Amino acid sequence: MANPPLGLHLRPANAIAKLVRRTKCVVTVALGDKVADGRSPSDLLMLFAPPGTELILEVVGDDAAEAVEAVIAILTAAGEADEHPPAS
Amino acid sequence: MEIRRGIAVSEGVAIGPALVLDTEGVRIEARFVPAKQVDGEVERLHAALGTAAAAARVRQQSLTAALGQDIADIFDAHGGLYEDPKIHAAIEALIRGQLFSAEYAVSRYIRGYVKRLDADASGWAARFRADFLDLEKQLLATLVGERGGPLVTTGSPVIVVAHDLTPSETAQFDPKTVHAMATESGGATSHTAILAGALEIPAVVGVGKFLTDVSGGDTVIVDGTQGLVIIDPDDATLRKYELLRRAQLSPSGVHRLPTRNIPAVTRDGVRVYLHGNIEFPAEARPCLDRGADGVGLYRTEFLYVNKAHDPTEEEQYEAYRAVLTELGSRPVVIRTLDLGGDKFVPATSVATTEKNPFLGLRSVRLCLRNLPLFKTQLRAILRASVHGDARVMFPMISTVMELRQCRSIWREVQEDLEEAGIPYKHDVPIGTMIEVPSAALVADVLAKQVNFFSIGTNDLVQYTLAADRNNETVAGLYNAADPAVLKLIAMVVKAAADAKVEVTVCGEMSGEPMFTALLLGLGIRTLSATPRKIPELKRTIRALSMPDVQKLAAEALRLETAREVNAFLTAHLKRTLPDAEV
Repeated sequence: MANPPLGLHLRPANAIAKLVRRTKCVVTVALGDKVADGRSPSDLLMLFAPPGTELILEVVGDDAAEAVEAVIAILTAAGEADEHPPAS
Repeated sequence: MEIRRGIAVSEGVAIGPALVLDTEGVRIEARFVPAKQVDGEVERLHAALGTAAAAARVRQQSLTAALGQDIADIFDAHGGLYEDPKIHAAIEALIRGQLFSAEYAVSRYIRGYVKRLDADASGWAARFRADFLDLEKQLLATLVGERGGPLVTTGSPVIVVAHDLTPSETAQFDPKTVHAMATESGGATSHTAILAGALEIPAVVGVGKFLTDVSGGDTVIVDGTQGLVIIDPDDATLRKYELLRRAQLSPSGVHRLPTRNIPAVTRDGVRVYLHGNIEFPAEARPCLDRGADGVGLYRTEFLYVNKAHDPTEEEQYEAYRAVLTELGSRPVVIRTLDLGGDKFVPATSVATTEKNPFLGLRSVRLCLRNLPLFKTQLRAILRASVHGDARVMFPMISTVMELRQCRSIWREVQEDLEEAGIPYKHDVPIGTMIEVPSAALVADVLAKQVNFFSIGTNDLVQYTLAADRNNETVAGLYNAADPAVLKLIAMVVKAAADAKVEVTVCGEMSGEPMFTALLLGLGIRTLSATPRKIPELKRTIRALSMPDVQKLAAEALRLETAREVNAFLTAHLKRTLPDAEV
């Protein structure tokens, strides 16, 4: 279980996907009946997880415990607020 | 074969292959590819994703120092999205399964994703919208870039079909290659419609959803006279339209219209002056060919849009001189820059977005805030004035103060030229457009400041009825025949007559024969319209007589609704010109 204070926005989604692609684990993140593939930032964003949402992590594979720690660290640290200038 | 009906805004018929522009103005030439090309398209997709990811990372690097890690990381996240295995798989599936081109598949996938973001009831996910639309833009830029340059370089003739076209896009069209256009949105008086008329390209707007039925390269017929768009026509239809198209190309066209050399006089001998509205110097000659007595509105926006820098004094001088020389002793009314911050940003100022641009910093308001830009234009007009009968006109004046400011800047520029010993005409007439209700209401005061008025009915109608002419849902309110508009016009004409200043009407209204009798009856003696309307207006005027139109105007002013006015004027036109198209 993780409860990202700033929500699951673009940068943590990217950081999680990068991390998962480096490990040998299968990571899924669930919210209600929606499940996202940890390797896909676009999938993670589709969970629609604003600040304070409880997310369920499922990690299967080698070093699963470490991966869980790392994902939770990303979610709880998740940078500044998601206010960024329109990218172009 | 699919036949769609829209609003006919520019006459003529054209047949050709479709060029589909999506809403961003990006050219997606083909939506589908042959099966044997699928592998190639998938390869193009992956290459484009790779290129875009690399570019995002480069941007991340360069922004880290300038804006800090957090902002720069956004671009790292974009890079991550370009590498997202789910995105790769989904777009590839569209190419393989639907035979979409890489461009079209990218666009379809991302638009679909954005729609899902928008569906988040809490509104949280909508914040990623701009990011994904940016991804689309970057990918399309890469993919389209490979296949060819911007629209202007399109070599072979095409029919442009789009959801909507901006004036700057339309202005880039070369009538030699863009043979017609058809858009899903837009109304009869949108800028696109006006420009299409000026360029004499057949055009139909307000067709409603039809882009999904057209693929790039499909044969399309645009019938700008009937307001039809025919997609993938059958042989019989194609033959019929080929004949129509050839007929309009025959050399017996406009140049020898019987009205060319006869004046616009009413049956009882009152002379009416018909001027042309033009946008480009090249239109001056066709304008005269149609029998115009002058140019009543020379729009100058083309000098500014789509330019990397503001036009120099010299560029402007040349553009004004060309038209003045062509027109000889006939008047040329040059309107100063009439664009809003929504369409144009001076190269020297910082871009800002406005919530309500039509009520914002536009037109003369923008010029008064940007004096170097304004003075450059006025200087060029004054210098060119020695080549003919130049007149200057300020658009969108809404208060007396604005007009006073314009006049004092005009004087300053004259003094500057004087000091520099540069020749100019000292008595260039000054006029103001009356297109804001407040200006119409104080026309008696404004009249003391100017030599002439020109009633810009398009904006006057829009501002009087507070209805956007491009918004289909309220376009019904937008009606030049509305009693409120007629009353304002009558007021302005009276104020002009009392002060003995000239008054012209230069909106679309002046080009419609239905309104000719009314405008004459209200006291208007000069109409300025799209040049191709001039022969028809002349014919209408020659069928009218003053006592009759004065009575008509008085009666029209007593009517209570736009619908009644319309019916009344249409019936009158039918009586005076039984074969008129109404």
